[in-house]
Amino acid sequence: MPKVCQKYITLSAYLGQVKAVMEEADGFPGWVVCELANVSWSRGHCYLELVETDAAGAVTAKARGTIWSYRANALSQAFERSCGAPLRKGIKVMLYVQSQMSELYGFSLNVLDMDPSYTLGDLEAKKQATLKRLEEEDLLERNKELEVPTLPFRIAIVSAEGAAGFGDFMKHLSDSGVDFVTELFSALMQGEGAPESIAAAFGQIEERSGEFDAVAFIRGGGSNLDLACFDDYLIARSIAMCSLPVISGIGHERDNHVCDEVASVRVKTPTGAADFIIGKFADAYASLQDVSARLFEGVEEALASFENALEKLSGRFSSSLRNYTEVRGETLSNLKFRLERAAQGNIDERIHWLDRVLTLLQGADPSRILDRGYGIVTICGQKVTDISSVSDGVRLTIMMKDGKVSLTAKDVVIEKKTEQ
Amino acid sequence: MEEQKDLTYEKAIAELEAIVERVEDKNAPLDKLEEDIKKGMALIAFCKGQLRGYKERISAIMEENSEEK
Repeated sequence: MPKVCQKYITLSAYLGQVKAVMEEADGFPGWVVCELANVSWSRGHCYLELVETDAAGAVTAKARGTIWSYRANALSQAFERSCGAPLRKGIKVMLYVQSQMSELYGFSLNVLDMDPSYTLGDLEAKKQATLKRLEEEDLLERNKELEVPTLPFRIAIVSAEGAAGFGDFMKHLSDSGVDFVTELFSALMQGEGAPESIAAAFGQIEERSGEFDAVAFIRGGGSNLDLACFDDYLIARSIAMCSLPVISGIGHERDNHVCDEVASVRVKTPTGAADFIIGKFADAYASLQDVSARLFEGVEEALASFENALEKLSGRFSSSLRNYTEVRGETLSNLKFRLERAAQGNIDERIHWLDRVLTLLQGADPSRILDRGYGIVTICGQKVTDISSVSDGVRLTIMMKDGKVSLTAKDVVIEKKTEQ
Repeated sequence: MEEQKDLTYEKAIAELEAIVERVEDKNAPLDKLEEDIKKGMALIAFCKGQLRGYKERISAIMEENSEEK
């Protein structure tokens, strides 16, 4: 460092000199590649923060860039049409710039043009190529045709042990109260070697596919570079060829990778994957509750109907029984009365008949006649009732109260009664 | 009567009816008539006794039946 010099200029003069050199070189125009660390808009101008990072992610160069309003809209719209997304931080860009120096605002780059294809670049171009290849090989829809079962108890997990995403996923499942059976198939989830590691994990799962109901492919958020591998063909093919439905939960909400396009189910985060799985049980439970409620309702209705019918029947039975017993009781009562009366009547009748017979016999008893002083004349034991049967020489017997006398008729004189 | 042990109400009535027929016959021998009358009286007494017995027993049955109700 030189000793303190007596000659000095002002800062503005110094910067003016630098500016002059740059203007002489026409601002050193050229294409540069960098990453957008920030993008902002004000009064139609687009202000960019440009950075360059090394492999470790450390910033090695930095500059401000400006797209002035008279070309900002055109460039940004062209970019969006090509890349499918607006200018945003984190993307790599190729810009045609011109340096400019201002004594007041310092060094900056004036952005004159940009090449969207660079931004699509390695990652996006790879992604698009991967998607195209998967489509040509008829693999895009293959895993989507597999449905996650109604109750997916057994989950194979492809993730990195110790990763935040994996931890969140497992905690969520554990907190649900459902007794899941899970097994982690550990794999590198970023950087070099990640595609091969993940493909190997899927291979292991495929060998034991009968032991699981679904695969959860999960990883928490990260930079574009971190998540770049999830656009890789090898991973996408592994997912597509998997015989189990794959639930892909990679990164954050904004991230959308090839693996998401081929998986059976795509959710935004690892927690989202856990929620999806738990939700299946909640749906099944709700359905069961509904069926149970309807069954219960149906049974209640049927029981009420039976009870009603039984009550009616019981009523009819009681009524009929009452009628029956009343009628029968009445009949029985009548019958009893008749029986009693008939029995008594029967006996009385017989007694009356006997009395009549008695009267008859008493009337016919000869001793009654004899007791009154009369005699009964008989001839050979037969009563004489006709006087003409008496003649001389007939042997008569006269029965009297105190005995009988036998005699022979002599000098019989007959005096017959004349009829008046 | 000699056959009292074997005599039933029905047999007595049958015999009594036969006696009545004989008694009603005006030409019936008188000595037989006396005999018939005596027998008839006895049979009447027997039958009445039987009937009284039936009456009492029937009343008892009716009474018993009413109590059971």
